[in-house]
Amino acid sequence: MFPQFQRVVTLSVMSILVGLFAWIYARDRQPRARLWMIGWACIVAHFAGMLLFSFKLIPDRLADWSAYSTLVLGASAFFLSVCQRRGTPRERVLFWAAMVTPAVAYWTCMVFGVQNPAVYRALLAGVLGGGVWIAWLQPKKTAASVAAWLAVALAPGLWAAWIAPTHVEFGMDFLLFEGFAVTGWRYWRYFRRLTPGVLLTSLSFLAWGLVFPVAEICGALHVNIPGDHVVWDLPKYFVAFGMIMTLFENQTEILQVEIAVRKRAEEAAHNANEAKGILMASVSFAARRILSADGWETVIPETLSKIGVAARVSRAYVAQVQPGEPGTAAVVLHEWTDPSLDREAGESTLACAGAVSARLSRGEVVSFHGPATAPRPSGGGCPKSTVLVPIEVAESWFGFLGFEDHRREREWSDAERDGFRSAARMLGASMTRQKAQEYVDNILHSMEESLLVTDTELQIRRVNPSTTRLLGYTEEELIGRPAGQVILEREAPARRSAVERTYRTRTGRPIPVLFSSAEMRNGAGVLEGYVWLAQDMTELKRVQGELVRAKDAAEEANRAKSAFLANMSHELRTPLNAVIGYSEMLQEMAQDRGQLDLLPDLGRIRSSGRHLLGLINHVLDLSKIEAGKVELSIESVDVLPVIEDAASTIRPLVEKNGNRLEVACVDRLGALLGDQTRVRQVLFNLLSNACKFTENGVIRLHARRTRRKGSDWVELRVTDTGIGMSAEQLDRLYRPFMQADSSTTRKYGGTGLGLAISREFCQMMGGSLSAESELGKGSAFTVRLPGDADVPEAWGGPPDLRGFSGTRSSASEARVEAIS
Amino acid sequence: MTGPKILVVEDNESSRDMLARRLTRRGYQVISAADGRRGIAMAQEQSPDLIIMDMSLPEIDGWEATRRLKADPATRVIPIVALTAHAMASDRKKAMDAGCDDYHTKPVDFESLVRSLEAFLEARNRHARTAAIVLPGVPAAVSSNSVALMGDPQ
Repeated sequence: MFPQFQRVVTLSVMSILVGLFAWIYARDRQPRARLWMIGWACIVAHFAGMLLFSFKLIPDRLADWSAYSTLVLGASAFFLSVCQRRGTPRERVLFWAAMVTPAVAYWTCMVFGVQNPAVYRALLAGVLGGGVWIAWLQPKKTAASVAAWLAVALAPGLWAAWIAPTHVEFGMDFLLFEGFAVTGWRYWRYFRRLTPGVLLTSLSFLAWGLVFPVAEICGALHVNIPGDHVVWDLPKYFVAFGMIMTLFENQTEILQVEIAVRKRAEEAAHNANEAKGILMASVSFAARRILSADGWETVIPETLSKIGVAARVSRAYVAQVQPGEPGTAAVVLHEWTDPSLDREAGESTLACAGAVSARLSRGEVVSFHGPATAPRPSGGGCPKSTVLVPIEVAESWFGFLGFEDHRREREWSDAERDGFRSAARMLGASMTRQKAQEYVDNILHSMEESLLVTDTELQIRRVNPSTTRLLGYTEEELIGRPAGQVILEREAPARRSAVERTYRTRTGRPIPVLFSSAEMRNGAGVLEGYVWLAQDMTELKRVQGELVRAKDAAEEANRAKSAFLANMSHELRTPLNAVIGYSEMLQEMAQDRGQLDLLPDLGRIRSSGRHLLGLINHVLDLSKIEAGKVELSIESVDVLPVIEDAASTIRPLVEKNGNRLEVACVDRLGALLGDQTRVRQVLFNLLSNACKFTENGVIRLHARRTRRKGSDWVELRVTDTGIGMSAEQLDRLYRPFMQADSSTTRKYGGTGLGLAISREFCQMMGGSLSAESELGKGSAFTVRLPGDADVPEAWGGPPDLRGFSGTRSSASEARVEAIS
Repeated sequence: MTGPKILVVEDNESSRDMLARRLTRRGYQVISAADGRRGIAMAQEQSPDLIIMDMSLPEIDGWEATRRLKADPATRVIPIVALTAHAMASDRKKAMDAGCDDYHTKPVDFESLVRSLEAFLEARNRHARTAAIVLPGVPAAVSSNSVALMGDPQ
C-alpha cells in the first residue's frame, strides 16, 4: 500500500463531506452549513496539495505554503461558523484583516525564507492585537473568560513572538493551535450541550490544534513519527464525524424545539380561546336575559356589565342616534363603567363624527384608537381604543353598542368583534320585538271591543283592558283560566261571527255580547288557539227592549185606534141613518104635498149627512190603509168599461158646475192589473175633484198605454181648467185632511182625504199617481197602473201620442166621447 | 095592506120608525121588532115575506137571530137583508156567514135597499108561482146579482 492511497481515500472522504454540506446548504440555506462547506473545501485543498506534491506535480514551496495556508483558512471558516451570530460585519472584517491575513502572511514569509524576526514578531503582534480587539468587542465578558483567554491565547502568543528569531515555526504552530483549539472551544460554547456529537467535535478540534505543538515536541524528543502518519489525520476524521453527528443532533433538537414552540403556540391559542369562550358565554348569557325579559331595558345594565367584564373593557354603553340628520348626536341610554374608571355613569349626549355614523348606519363595525373621533361624553378620561357596533331595530339604524378601553391601546380580535356583533344583534332583535309588541299592545289597548285569546284547550292566554273592564276581573285572574269561566255557552267556538253570546262577569252578572270567534293559526297553518271578540250589547239590548216596548205600545195604540174608529163609525152611522133617512123622507113628503119651498133646506140636511158619511168612509179607508189591512184583489181589468162607467157616474157632477167632459182614449186600451173597485174609486175621485174645482170649463179624461222601464203601463190622465194649485199647495197635496187651503173646504167641500187614499191605492196596485198644476190655469192628475201584457195581442209598435196629440183632429183613431 | 109583509128588526127607535114609514110609503106592509128575541118570534108567528135585520140588537143579536131563523125550516126561506152600522169589510162577511141574504150599511141608501127588496120578492113570487122547490140556503143568482148592484159603499 503506497502512501498516496491514504491521501486519495482521505481526499475522497473530505470531498463527500464538502458535497454533504453543500447539499445541506442548498436545502436549508444555513450560513453555518456554507461555512462548513468552505472549511472542508479548504481541507480538501490541503490534501489535494499534498497529493499533487507526492506525485511531484507541484514544487516544494507551493506545496508547503498550501499545506498550512489551507489549514489556516479552513480553521477560520470553522471558527466563524460557530461564532455567535457570526459577528457584526465590522467584526468579520477585523477578523479577516487582523487575524487570518497576518497568519497567512506569517506562513508565507516562512515558506519564502524571510529571515527578519521583526516581521514575524509584528505579524504575531497583529494577530494577537486583532484577537484582543475582537475579544474586547464581545458583549459578555466575565473574569473567568478573560483569564482563560489570557492563559490560552495571549501568553503562548507572546512566548511565540519572543522566541520567533530562533524558532519561527513555533509561531506557526501557535497560530494553528489557537485556530483549531479556539474553534473547538467556540464549538462547545455555541451548541452548549453535552451530546456525543458536540463533545466529539469540540475535543477533536482541540486535538487537531494540538497536533502541531505535539509534532514539534515529538521532533524535539526524537520520537520519530512520520509526517504522513494516520495519527496526525485522525482529528480531522473525528471532527468530520462529530460535525455530522452534530447535524443529526441538531435535527432532533430542531424537532424538539418545534414541538415546544407549537406547544407554546397552542397554549397561547388555548388562552385566547378561553378569553373568547368567556366572551361568548357572557354574550349568550346576555342573549338569554334579553330574549326572556319583557323589556330589554330591564336587563341591559346587567348584560352590559357582563360583556364589559368578559371583554376586559373599561366602558360599555348603548347609545341611540337622534332622529333627524344622521351623524350629529347620539344619546347614551345605558352604560357600564369599570369600577376602576373614575367616572359617573349617567345619560349623556355623544357627538358622533359624520364618517363614523355613516359607516355605522351601513351596518359596519367601527373601531379606532384615541379619543379624536370617538363619540364621547365629557369627563372620565379618554379611551385609548374604541369599537362601535351598530344596532338595527326593525331594519333601520337605531344606534350602537360602544366598548372602550381606557387602559391600553388594543386591537379587537375577531372573536371580540363577533361577540359584540352578536350582542348588538340580540339587542336589536329584542328592541324590534318590543316595538312590535308595543304596536300590538297599543292596538289591543285602544280596542273598545273585548278581546280574548285562548289556546286550543280554551285556556285564556291573553286579554285586553276592555275585557277586564267588561268582566271585572284583573288580567292575572283571567290568564290561564278556562275560557268557559267567562262565557255561559260551553261550545268550542270555531269560526263564528256576529252571534249573540252571554259573558259572565266576576260577580256572575250576565252580559249580552255580540260575539265573534276566529281560529288562530300560525304561519304553518297549525291551530294555535282562538281569538274571541265581543262587544257589550247591554246598552243595545236596553235600547232594543225599549224599541220593542215602544212598538208594542204603538201597536196597542193602533189597535185601540182601530177599535175606536170602528166604534165611532158604528156610533155615527146610526144617527146619520136617521138624519139622511128622515130628510129624504121629508123631501118626498114635501114634494107630495106641494110644499116645494122646504125642498132646498131638506136637501141641505141630506147632503150634509152624505158629506158626513163620505168623511166617515174616507177615515175608515185611510185607517185601514195605514194599518195595512186593505186587501186588494188584483185581476185583469178591462180599462174601457171602467172609463165608461166613471164617465156616466160623474155626469151629474160635471153638469152641476157647467163643465164639459171630454174623454179620449186609444182604440186598444186593453186591460190593466189592479183591483177593479179601487181603480173605479180612484178615477171617480179624480174626476169629482176636477168637477168640484172647475166652473164652466173643460174636464178631460185621456187614456193610453205607455212603455216605461221595460214594462207596460196604462195611463189615465184627468185634466181640468179649474182654479189650479200653487207649488206649496202641490207639496202638501197628499197629506190627509189637507186641502189646498182651509178656506177651500168651506167653499168646495170634500174631506181632503180622497187624494191621499187614491195615491195609496195606486201604489198598492204597483202604480203611481202624480199631479201637476198651475195656479189659476188648472190641474192634471196622472194615474199609471201596470198593464196586463197578455191582453193586447193587437197591441203593436211603440206607444205614441195618437190618442192625445189630437183628440179632435185624429178622431178616426181615437174614440172621443164628449159629454157637455 | 096588500103589499109584501116586511119585518124590520131594529132596536134604534128613530131608525125603525124612519124605515117603517118609508117602506110603508112605498106600499109595503111593515111589522117591526125592537130586539132579536121578539124578531124571531114575530118571524115565526107572522111569516113575513122578507126580514130587514139590524145586527147590534139587545137580547139576541142579529147574527144569532139570523142563524136561528135560517136553522128553522119554517122561517129559513124568508130572505134576510142585513142593515147595519157595522160597515167594515169584515162585517159584510160576518153577516153573510151568519146566513143573511144581502147586506146594507147604515146610513141606508134607500133606493138601493128597495131595489134589493124587490129583487128578493120578485124571485120569491116567481118561486111561488112555479111552485118550485125552494132549496135551503141562499138564492145564489139573486144574491150575487144584488151584490153586484150594491157596488161601492160611496
